Amino acid sequence: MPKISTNNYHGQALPYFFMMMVVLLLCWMMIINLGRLMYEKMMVQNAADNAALSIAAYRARVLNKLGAMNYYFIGCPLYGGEDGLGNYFNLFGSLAVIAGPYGFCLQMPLPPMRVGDNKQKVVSYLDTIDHFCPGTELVNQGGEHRQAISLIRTLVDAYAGENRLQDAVRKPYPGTATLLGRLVTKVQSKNSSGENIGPEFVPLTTFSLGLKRNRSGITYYYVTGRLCISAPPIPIVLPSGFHTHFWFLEELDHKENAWLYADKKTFYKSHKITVQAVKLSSHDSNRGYPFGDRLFGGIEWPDIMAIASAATYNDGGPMFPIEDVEEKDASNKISPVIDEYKKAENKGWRAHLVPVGSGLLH
Amino acid sequence: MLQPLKNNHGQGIVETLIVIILFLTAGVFALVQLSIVIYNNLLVNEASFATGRVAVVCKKDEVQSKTQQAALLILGPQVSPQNLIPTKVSVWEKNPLGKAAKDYANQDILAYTTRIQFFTRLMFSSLLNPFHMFSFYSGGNPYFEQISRARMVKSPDEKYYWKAYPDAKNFNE
Repeated sequence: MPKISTNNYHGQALPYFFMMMVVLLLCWMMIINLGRLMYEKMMVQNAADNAALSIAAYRARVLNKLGAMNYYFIGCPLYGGEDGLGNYFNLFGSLAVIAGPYGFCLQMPLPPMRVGDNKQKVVSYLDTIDHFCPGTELVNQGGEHRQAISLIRTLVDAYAGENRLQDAVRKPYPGTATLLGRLVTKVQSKNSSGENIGPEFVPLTTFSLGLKRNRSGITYYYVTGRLCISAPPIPIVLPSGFHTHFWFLEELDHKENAWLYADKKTFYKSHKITVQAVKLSSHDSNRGYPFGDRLFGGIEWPDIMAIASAATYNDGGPMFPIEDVEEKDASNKISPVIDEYKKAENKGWRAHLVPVGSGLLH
Repeated sequence: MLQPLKNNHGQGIVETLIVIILFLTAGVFALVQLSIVIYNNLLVNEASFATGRVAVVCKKDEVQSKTQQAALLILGPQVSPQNLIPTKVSVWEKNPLGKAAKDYANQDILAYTTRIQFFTRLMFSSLLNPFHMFSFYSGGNPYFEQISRARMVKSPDEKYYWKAYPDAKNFNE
């Protein structure tokens, strides 16, 4: 039987070293796992914040663009930017009339005609500029006025018609917003190969602009004749003489589509965008985590989620007329389109982060 | 007069005991202690990040109360007199650029800095944190103080955290 020597102490520290190493490794693994968890949580929260804010900023730009199109190309085509379609005082169907003292219509031909506020009578600006007419005059208009109103109709149709410029901006919004959210969350984190390994994007609200197309229609007229009556038949300002104009109209064309309006039921809600960023435990970048899971009893890496909200806001107002009717029943008044845009244009739509819910839901 | 020992059997056991008691125990607990300190630090960092986020999306007059509540909510389950003891949650407004500035829409650019002060209760404080009340022999300070901070820029217009324009209904109505 071999004798065990007790005189050799080489290697007696080895077991202690290994025991220390085991404890060190356990602590090290715990800290690596915890650090990774905290990093992922902050990264996922940032991804959710950035996605929500990016979509809200995109939405703000779309609203600003559509509002400007409403104003410049539908509300105010070729009318000097102050008055819109239908700046014509319509009293008797196809006969239009204004009356006042001498000189008033000559100096300010447009403002009195705004009173009518009826977009269904769209005539050429050229027709509303009066030339001085002593006494009584009946003028037959030539073809140039038909061309002028045709140009207005073409411009309006280019912006408001189906699949035209406004809809090219408006209709892709839900899809583009979703793609934008996905992209922003994905690029939040990259691996060593430069691949995007950010969390998944989950929209929690539907992406809608809350806008509808006014389909009450626009009828375009041209002037076939004009009658001016002045009394006395010589121009006097003081004392003011009486002066009146009649225009005889004929329909040129009718188009179904007009400007965009805000749907009262959905517009105020649609500004808030809530999204979630989710990094599932099965995500490729989580492979290998938790570090040393078998030593910890086979624990599983958690799914990490974060939620964020952002909203568009405008201190000036909604920028679009607000209505609570179906598209075909929308108002034909032009002044709300102009007024709402002018109130809101200087402020413009902007975007910021907002609380997700009440209380501490941020 | 002491006689030299005639044999040295058992010397290894004595040495083993000394090493286990002094080094292994102290080493293991030092590692565990370090892990606890780092764990607490990560946890409070997360809490300060979250409270900062609360601060930037709540109304100015609610910032103080809501950040306190948020910190309590997040740290609450972890608080223990034997481990983690938060002592103060502070939040204050800052100019992120060092001076008053406005954005393109003439809104003030403000940031909130949140600061959470907390203690981690130490084992073997006389070794790990020996100075207490300016005395090395006092048994050490068992409370190791740490501070965690976060800073975020405030969402610009708090009038519109709940609605989109002046006469609008709230988002959730």
